[in-house]
Amino acid sequence: MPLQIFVLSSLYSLSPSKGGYIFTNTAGDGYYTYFTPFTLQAKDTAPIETVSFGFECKRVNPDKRQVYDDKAKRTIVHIIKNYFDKSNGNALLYICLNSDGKARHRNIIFGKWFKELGQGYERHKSKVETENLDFFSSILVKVDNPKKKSIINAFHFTIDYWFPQE
Amino acid sequence: MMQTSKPRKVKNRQVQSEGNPFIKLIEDKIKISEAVQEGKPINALTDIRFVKPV
Repeated sequence: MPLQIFVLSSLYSLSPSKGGYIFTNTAGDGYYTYFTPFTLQAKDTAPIETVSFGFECKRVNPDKRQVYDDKAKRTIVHIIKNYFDKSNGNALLYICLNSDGKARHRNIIFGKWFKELGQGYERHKSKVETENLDFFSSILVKVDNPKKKSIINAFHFTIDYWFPQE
Repeated sequence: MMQTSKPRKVKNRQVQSEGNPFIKLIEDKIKISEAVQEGKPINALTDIRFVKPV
């Protein structure tokens, strides 16, 4: 089988949607991926405009035990990699909410997924707990991004700014 | 292997709500999740600004 066909068949077919892509897995579950703008604040420089990534899965049979879908993982990683390839050196933010108590597990899973991006990327993480909020946030940035240090500093500065110490 | 840093943990912090981009992000994430689970098109969420896929 030609390599190109093999590579393409290792992903689910993507359909562009508003701000992202949609794909359906073998079980018929729908995945809705999306990008929204996010502004990082910086201490001594202008704000840094970046993008946040998210996705939702609508399962055909939500009561049925969910089977790990490696092809869905590869498809999402492909979407993220495509974003970095085309975004000219930007960064990508991602959050995991803990409203169902499973944010840590999701954060671990996504950490494994992000490793699929391979060499050349860094992931910086933060966890925020307040009286009413509990979430993990991560920012991905290319290792060779000349603004990498500024972006990472701005990521942490933004969190500290909006969730200050008591 | 991709490099990752240890997470900074921010516990027992106050929240600046007005204009907080993380709160906006969380609210948008919840709206999107509800729309998807209810079978409603994301296009209908006119108060959320999306970035077009590149």
